[in-house]
Amino acid sequence: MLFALLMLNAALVFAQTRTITGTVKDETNTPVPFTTVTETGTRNATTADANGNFTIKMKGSSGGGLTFTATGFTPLALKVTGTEIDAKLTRNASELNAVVINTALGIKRTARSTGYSVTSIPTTSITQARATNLANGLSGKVAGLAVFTVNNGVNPQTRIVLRGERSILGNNQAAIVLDNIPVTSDYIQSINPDDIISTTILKGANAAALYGSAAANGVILLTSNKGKKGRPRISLTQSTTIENISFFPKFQTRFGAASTEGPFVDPLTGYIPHVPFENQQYGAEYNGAVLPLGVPVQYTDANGNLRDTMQTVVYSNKNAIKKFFQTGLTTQNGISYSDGDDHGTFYLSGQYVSTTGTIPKDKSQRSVVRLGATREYGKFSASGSVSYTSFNTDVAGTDYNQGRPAYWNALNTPGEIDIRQYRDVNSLFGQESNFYNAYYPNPYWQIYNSRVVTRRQDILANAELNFKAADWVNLTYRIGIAGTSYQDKATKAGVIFTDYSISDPAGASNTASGFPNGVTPKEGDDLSIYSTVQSDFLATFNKKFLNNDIDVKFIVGGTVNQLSSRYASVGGGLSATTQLQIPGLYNVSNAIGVPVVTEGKVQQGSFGAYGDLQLSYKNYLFIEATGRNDWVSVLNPSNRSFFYPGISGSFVFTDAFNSIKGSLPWLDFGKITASYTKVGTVSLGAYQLSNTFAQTSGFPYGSLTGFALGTNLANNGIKPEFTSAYEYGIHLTMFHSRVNLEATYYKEDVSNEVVPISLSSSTGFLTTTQNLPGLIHNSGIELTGDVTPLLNLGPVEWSVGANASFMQSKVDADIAPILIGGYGAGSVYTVQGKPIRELRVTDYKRDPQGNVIVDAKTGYPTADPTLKDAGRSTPGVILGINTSFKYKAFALHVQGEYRGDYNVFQFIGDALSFTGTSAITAVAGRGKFIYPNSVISDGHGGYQPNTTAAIQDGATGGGFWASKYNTVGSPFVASGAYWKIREVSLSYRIPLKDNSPIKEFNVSLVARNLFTFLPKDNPYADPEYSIFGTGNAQSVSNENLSPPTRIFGASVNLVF
Amino acid sequence: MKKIYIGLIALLFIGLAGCTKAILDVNSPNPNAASTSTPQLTTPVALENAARISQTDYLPLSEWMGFTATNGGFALDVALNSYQLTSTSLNGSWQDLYLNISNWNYIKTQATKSKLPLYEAISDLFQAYDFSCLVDLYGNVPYTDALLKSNNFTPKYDKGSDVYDSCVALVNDALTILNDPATPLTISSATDNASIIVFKGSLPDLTKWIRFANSLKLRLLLNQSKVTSKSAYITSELATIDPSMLLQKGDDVTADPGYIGSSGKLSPYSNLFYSAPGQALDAYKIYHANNFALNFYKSTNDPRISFFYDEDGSGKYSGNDFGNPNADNVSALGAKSIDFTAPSVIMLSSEALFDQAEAIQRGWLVGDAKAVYQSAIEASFSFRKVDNPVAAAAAYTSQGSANTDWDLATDKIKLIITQKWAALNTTSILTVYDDYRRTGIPSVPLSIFPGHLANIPRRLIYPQSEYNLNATNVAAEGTINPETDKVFWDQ
Repeated sequence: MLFALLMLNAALVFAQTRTITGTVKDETNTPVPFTTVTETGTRNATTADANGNFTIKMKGSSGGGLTFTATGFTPLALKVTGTEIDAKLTRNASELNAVVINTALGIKRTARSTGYSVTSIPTTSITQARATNLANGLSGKVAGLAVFTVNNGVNPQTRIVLRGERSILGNNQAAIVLDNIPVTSDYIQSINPDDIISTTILKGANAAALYGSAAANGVILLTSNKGKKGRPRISLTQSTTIENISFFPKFQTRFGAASTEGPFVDPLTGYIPHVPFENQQYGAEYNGAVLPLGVPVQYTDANGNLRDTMQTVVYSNKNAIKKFFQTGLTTQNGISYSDGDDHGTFYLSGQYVSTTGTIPKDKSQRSVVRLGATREYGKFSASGSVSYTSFNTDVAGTDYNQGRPAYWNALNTPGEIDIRQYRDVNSLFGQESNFYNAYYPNPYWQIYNSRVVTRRQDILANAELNFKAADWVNLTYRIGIAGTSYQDKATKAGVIFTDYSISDPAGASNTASGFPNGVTPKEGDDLSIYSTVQSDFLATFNKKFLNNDIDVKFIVGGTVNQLSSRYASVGGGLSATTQLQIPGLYNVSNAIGVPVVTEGKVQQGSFGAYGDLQLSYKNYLFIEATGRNDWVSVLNPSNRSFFYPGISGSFVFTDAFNSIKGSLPWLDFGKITASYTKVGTVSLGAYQLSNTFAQTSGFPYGSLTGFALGTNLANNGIKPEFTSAYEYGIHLTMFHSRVNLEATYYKEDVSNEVVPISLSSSTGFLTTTQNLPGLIHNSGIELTGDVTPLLNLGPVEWSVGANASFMQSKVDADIAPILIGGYGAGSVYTVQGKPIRELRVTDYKRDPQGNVIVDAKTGYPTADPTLKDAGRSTPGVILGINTSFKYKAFALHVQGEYRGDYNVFQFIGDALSFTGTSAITAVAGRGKFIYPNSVISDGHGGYQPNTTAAIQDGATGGGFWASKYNTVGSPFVASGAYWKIREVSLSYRIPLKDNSPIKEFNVSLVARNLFTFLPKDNPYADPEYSIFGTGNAQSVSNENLSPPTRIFGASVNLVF
Repeated sequence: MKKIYIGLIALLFIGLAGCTKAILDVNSPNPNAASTSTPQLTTPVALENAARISQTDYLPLSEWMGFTATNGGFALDVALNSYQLTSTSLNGSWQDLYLNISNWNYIKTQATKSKLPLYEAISDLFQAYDFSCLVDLYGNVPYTDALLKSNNFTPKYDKGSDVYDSCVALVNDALTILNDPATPLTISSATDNASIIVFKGSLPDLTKWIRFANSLKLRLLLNQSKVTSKSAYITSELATIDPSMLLQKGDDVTADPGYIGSSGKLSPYSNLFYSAPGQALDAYKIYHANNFALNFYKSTNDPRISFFYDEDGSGKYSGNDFGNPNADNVSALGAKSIDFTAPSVIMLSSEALFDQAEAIQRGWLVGDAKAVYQSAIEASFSFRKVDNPVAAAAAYTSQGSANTDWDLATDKIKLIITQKWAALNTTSILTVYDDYRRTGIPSVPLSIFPGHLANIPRRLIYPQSEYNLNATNVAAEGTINPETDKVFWDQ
């Protein structure tokens, strides 16, 4: 019905018309190309051509007029009398003056006056592809910004980093500041992106210094909608997207089930015969034969007789693993109401997001309600907002046996099996007692029986009061409270095996034989609450001198920040260790034995006082000096106070020298900037200044307590870290704002980094904390260009934007490699002389030329315990490219992103090699083969090419693929480079009649991560994923992360 | 008017400054964890951990020593089965031992400060116990620079022989304290008896601690039996041992904090195989009977067989050869040996008695070797829950086999070490590995895993953490070849 009404509206647009033609020129009679010519007061519009000529069909009455708008010019409205009209536009010198941006502490500045790099992203750009997480909408759009989506699933976590990593083990994520209140990095997933009206990226310390500690990593400054003066605006948005796996690791498709140490190697085929209950895929080649599957299963027939039955399987590849994953679905429904008059504005919104995942039964829901308002009364003005978010997830947990993820159990499914036939975990062959696989559970078992349910609630509230004490004095007080409560519960059902399966009929040491008494149900819980309260007081003094040529602004202020959190965990939290008696009652009151309980609290406080002096001369030369002193609670009182200064300048040379305008008429605007800033940071948690003792090893036993010395050696002399940052930039606008270029060079030195370093355990401790005796150097170049090509594409408007970041990093400190995170075979380290993040892996022993040395008898390579550098693990190059085409009511946006110059450690390759799933394990056809490019000892200390020593058990894999190849890390190092088509949106603005109650009606098709292009040496997974979540150890992945996904769907937006 | 504003601003700042103290002084004390402890509070967990290490960390060595073999159906640990060790093989004990020593070091410092000599003595004994285990596994290890002495984060390695001498010196220090008549006066029955979870009784039993100290010293000396260059030193140290003050039958050195059959509170050895009663871990299915030990117990009609192993599905004891990937229906480890509440073994009295028998046989101590040998077997039978252990032991050692009967054995040392091996199954694997390297007894068969090295490793490779974190010092030890490089007493 609604749709029919809209169509009617659309039809009415085409009424009677008269045609007007003309030319648009500037003051110098130069044609202004591509000016938008609109019939005044209507939506009827056209675009002038490259020579400024236009033709428009006016449909209004003869008293109507035309409005001419072009970038860089003042809009012009003219009455139309005849059928021809020429328009003369005036260049708008002040337009660039008028661009006002938010900077640190909510201080609004003209864009031209900032002496450092600040970027605003239009909200439409963030929400165009309907990302549910605002961070995903930022990816690829700003030079220097990297958003890592570290996993997929129903609650994808994001890590936002500006200008690369700088803290070795402290926080590296950009601070998120919403309505001038700092929130935790993970709060970004609780935001409804439609509520944000302004997003500003303060890229580095230079821009963000006034924020204090948080500033070193840059700031994402978000402002929520508080309504707009004007008529009420009611908006409804609905979008539906589906998500499916975009690519899997490269699997082998030739060989089926057999263990690596099967009963014997068939001398005729050279393969281990099929083992019907095996998880590993080191068997014979597929031949389409019908083979037994699992072991004979007993059941009771309708007459009560015990019978035997056995499954069979057609021995051919059925892509077992791929079939396990399904298509996910996300729906977003949002409403908002915005209103305002001369005294105030009002905004109310609500959004509900529901997602189902690619793993069956995984789901999440997010609900967000936000209220924002502003009000003015004489010299007072007030604003505030309150938002509440509820975010629930319900996903499959780990299995009951080895505690493995569903993906792992899917990987242990030989290719000849259609895994979906076991979806019913209570069916004869789907139940654990009868499941064909003797060693790994039915992956659907954990879908139904092991769940992790999380509930998160965020409340954010802030209030701001301004008092204009005099023309030149403004006082601001604001307070913000961010509160989060989080709870999770992991539950695992028990399993009772049949006596028959416990008897291990195949003599395989099956899973059931290990649980003669069954598996007891288990559960675990975590509860935490977290809150920060921040209050700021700012006094702003502003005076102009010397005929207004000199503008002086001085801000002095103070900030108090208090953080407190509490947590409690029962039964190991998500590891669910509390055993339960009565099945189905997941409550600690049902515990068998003594549940493990932990609890803790954290309190931190800080106080900052700052001053900011801004001088402007004739609105083209700007100097700003800042200083801040912080006092923090977590350091020793003798180290807790620290001061840091900053200075920056901006020079708009196109305004300073009038001659430039004459000689370079195409140059609209040009400014150069320079700044130096120091920022102090404390990346030490609370209570780190003294050693601790804890009850370990099962203590307490009854009334006997036992307190063991902690393994971290406390250092109470820790000092704050300092980042010294230099930044130089140039910003040019040319050709009537059709070309916009910015280039920035920055250089940072981070000193005194607080590093929890690993110690040789012979010290009696495993870790300690130190101030790094050296520096981390970071430098980089950021380029941004936006071009509206001077091509006449008729009615099609085309624009192209690109940004590029080139980031260098070097650890200049005499330190042993610092482990950031990873596995024995490969980890991310911070290594002297290398970029701050360096992969290090174990490798095979190699000759001086780098060839793998193999044993002359067995053909096996030998593992070398020394870790070898394997390249930087964070991107050195990031490119973002966007383009948009507009044709009448259609708009197409495409956003692409490239990352390169780094490596990742795809440890899932180890799992795939153990199971015999990966393509590489079949590369030699499971026959014997000579390790490529290997050498053998020549007996005289040298090496000679190996042409004889072949790996004999390439077929069985037992000796090589499943337990040799994967014992070192080097085979799983891959280039992290990729191109992603991040976002595609095709929208259509449905034409509406002027008096329609509907003011806007947009429909769009949207897609995210539509295509991913990876180099050949990464056959495994998305380089962006990290097993350590949003932590510092990025670029390490394994089978705990399910395969990458693409998302696409449609969206409808209605505005009344 | 302006003054009012300035006053207002000043007031706000004063207000903020006033709360700074309350805001900043929130991080001491730590509300989440204790910042100090006492010898009485740390000793129980240090004793338990020393025992836990010996009960859990050396389990893989039981495959080399002929007690266990990987059951069919499980991917074999190639490093273990082919003797091809890497820096990540079998060496969790490095970290565990040093962390345990770190606790003993703390206890020693605090005990000295608080004048608690018994705790000082126990700390000395267990530093000696732990450090000697490190030497036994790794040869040269950090000692003088270890434990942050001179604040060193990268301790240099000391010669294994020197570390052993230091261990003996620590034991001597402990004996001085334990024999000091002032020491008993410092003991409080209320706290010390609860904290000292070894030799529990109504009061800490100093006599037993002296016996343990002497037996530990004898073990350290016996381990050096082949080091001819130290024979004079050994003789001089032996002279200080009173044979009557060695561990006697039943003086099992075990730590008993009060294990219960509840997840997280299980006796550590049982926790290797079960996460909770009835909840078997994969290790239970992986570590099954090895034919070598099984055949020995069978051939000697050893009643302990039912303690160490369970019958297979068909009611027989059947084993697997070490390194054989294909074996079905192999006997699992004995349910009786996997006791969820059993105290953890530090040193069995049977081990101490076999050591005495060996020392007497070598002429190192005076005594009746045969009687001590018999007593050792009785101690073992008793500990392994054999019914009527004395009678059963008597029958066992008079069955007419040279493998059991003192008088029939031509090589008494071989008999003693073989019986010590048979007695220490499951509980004292490192001692068995030490004896094997020192004497070659018993002659356990090599792995049959394809591509295995020719010899059972003589030591472990230093852990990867040392190569990563203490690279210069570990590099000074050269490339370790476990097949040929030996610890100092293995010659």
